[in-house]
Amino acid sequence: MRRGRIRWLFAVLVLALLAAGCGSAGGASDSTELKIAVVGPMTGDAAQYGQDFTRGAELAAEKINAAGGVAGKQISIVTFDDRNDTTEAASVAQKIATDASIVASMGHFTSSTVYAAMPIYKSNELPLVVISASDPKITEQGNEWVFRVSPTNNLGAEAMADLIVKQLGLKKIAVFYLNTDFGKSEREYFVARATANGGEIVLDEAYQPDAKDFSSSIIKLKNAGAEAVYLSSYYSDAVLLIRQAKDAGVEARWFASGAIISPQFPEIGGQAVEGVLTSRVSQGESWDAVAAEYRSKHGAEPSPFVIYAYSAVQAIAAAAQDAGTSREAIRDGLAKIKDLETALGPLTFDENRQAVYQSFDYLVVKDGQFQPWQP
Amino acid sequence: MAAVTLPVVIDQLVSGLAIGGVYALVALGFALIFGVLRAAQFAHGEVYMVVAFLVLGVLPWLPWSGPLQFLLAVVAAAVFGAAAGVLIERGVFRPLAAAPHIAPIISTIGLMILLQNLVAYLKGSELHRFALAWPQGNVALGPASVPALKLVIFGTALVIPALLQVALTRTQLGRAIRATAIDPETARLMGVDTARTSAVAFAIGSALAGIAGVLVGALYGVVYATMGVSALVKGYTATIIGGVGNLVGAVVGGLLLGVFEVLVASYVSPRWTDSIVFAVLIVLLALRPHGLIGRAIPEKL
Repeated sequence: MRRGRIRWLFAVLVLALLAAGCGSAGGASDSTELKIAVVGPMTGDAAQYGQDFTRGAELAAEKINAAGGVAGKQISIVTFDDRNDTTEAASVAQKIATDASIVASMGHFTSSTVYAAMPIYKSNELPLVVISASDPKITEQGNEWVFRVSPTNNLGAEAMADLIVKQLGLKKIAVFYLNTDFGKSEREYFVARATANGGEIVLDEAYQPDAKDFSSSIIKLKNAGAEAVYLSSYYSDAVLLIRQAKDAGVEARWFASGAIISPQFPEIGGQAVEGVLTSRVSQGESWDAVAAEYRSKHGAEPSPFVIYAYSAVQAIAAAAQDAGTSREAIRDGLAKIKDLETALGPLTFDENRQAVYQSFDYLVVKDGQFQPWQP
Repeated sequence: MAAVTLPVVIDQLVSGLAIGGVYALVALGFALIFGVLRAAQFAHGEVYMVVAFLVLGVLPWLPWSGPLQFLLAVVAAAVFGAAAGVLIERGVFRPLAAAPHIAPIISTIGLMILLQNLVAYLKGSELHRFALAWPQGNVALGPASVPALKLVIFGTALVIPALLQVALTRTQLGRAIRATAIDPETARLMGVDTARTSAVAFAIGSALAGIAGVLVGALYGVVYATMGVSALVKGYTATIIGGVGNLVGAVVGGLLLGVFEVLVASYVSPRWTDSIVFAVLIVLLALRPHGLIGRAIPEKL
């Protein structure tokens, strides 16, 4: 009886291993396919961002394939899970880069994971399109295989510092930031611009990525006399911090990084996050069109990461169409992209392979939604 | 850094005692199960998480507002937790009773991974809003004004262990559980149904985890699929501080841990909290391997 059970368990284990192996390794190279890797956190705490990446990329691939594909090939999206972990990101990047059937990769959610993975793409000569990580220094490393369609965080942080100090005249500012490459770098740009504008930082507090209890920071905030609070956070931290602070009776105006923009922010925050201000890159008609398509397919509002992933596939497809479907041709094609019509609007890469952004919009949470802010 | 004034310190202590109370309940359940089964239940944090999700699911059916809703949520958490505990004892521990000691421990690790990913698959890995209508707002406590919720959580975390203590010392079943914890062989010879007491201890321990899950959901206002991980780590730490297998120690350890964390976050930095807490834990283990009050109360349960 016991032996039978063990044998049965063993069989299940073997099957599971086989299934896992098939899922990630993929089939042999197929010349009728243009295979693009989408990599991000597919499991764990940040899995929703990996889902955003996948859905955005697949939506774009379906659209392009329905219109005849790229240079006679159909785009195929293969997903990889880096669990938002730097060690895992490096080993997954190695796996992707050594799979000859893959011609381009996109993703890695945070700046930390991109830093861990980007040398591997370079040494294996595979183009990587970054779609969320926002540390400006990523595209200042001289790594000619790394492109970025999403905006750098200095732009949003500086726009917010201008809004708070110059436009609204709030001088005493408390800053909370995530203790990661993203949070630290965004905070730096925010603090530099805010103090240059004449603001005073009355509280400057880092917190760990897994923080859920902000009581001690909130007690400091209560006693700091801040008129404005700025958060370099993701929605999940921001929503907890704001709710816990409001519950504790903190009265200040709240401002946050564009990284909080997600339908979950007003959904979980409820009344507590009404009036929170943030910024994002200006969106055109093509953004709205993709958003509408996403809504009808998934029944939910897309996060900006969906749009960045969508645009990255469009950019890779355009590069392959113009320059050829090898890794090197796609890299060269991406570098030449200028005013390409994408979901983000016209896309142009600068000499550092960073997408150029001109204008920012301010958004406010009103009636449970992010809406354009009117002064 | 905030100025050190009496209201600030009271505020900090209340915050520490609230989260410490949650740690205490998790630790108490962990210690109870460990005491009776002599095995670490690594899926303890997942019981806490699953119950929090289940209670979130039944909240719409608890339309009463005010203290009654809070009480019913706690009772529902205890019921779900106890049911989960019995299932785990039957499904994971009992079939492996004759297996080497490590086997049930490994299988609880498997259960931990399974439950975490199952909930993430079914409900998504994002945060889910968890709000109780009561208690809301702040109350005056001496010169300070502190959130009522934190006081209620701290109070709950004192009342429940006190009730448990009475049950363990004054009832026949409680005495059977303690006897099984001290020496299962002898207890069996004395006519104690040790299989049943194990299941009861498991049910009570898991009910405590479930209650803690609901309290933490109310405290932070959210529940999420990976919330059990930190609960396990913190509960385990609190158990070690108090002395493994020592119930009073588990509660004291949980409260101390909560207060210590808030003080470190307040006067050093939140980013150093975990490093400092675990460094102190290592020193503590080296100096007092039986925990802070491990020797004062040598009795197992």
